[in-house]
Amino acid sequence: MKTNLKITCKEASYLLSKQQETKISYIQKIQLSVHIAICNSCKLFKNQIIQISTLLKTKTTKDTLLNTTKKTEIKKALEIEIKKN
Amino acid sequence: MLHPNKWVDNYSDGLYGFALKRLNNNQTQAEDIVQEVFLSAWKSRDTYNKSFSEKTWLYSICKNKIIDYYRKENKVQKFELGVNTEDDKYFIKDGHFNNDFKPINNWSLGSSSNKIMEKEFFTVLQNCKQKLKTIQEQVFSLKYLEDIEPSEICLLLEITNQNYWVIMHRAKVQLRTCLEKNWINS
Repeated sequence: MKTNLKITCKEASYLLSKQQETKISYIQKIQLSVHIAICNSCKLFKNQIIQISTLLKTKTTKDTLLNTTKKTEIKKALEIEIKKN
Repeated sequence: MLHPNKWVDNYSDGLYGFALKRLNNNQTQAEDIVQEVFLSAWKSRDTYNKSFSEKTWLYSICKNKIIDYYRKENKVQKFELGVNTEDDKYFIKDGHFNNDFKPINNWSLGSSSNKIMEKEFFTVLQNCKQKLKTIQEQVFSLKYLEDIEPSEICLLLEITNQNYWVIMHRAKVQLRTCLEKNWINS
């Protein structure tokens, strides 16, 4: 079976995005390295998406979205419910 | 194992954000739904399915509450899959990056990088995430902020594996473009 090793930026960035989270096939890995060797945009893309996830991992405090008054209210309501049993 | 005493501290912000996005930023409604999620989770704790993580289980209850809300209000839930042609502006016909949206900067961030830059990163990322389609924002946040496995996200959002990768790819392409334009180059 003949496989085309040449892929486009769209395909390469898709594979890079997928590879960040799961394993990709052997052929896909070769296709990627062939593409990355000649494509600076995709090389940068790979680097950037890795940096985004690295930065997100370093974030220790989460965005506080729900206001504290409401949180306390919910906690109380839940405690009452738990005590019923 | 369920830990209801920690639910509010651990999950209320994430669930609130999840609900808010699907409820078109209706804050009061989102707050109410978060409260309902915890109360009904406790009441139906016997039905907890151990093949799900506690977190994913709470998100799935949340999703059902949102569906109920739309049903009750007789409203149609706008929920695009985000796989349409409009997103193709990032690539041209032959599959190459569109020049206006291609990566141009060699970012050098990470552990030793500038703390001010990092602080800004989260603000800009927040704004950039708002611009994503609902489904894109949700797959991205569930994976990278809530740390839920792709397979669980697929079950939760009722999308196929294939859909997941396409949506995630689009989300990353759009986010990195937005970050480069509004953060790195600002």
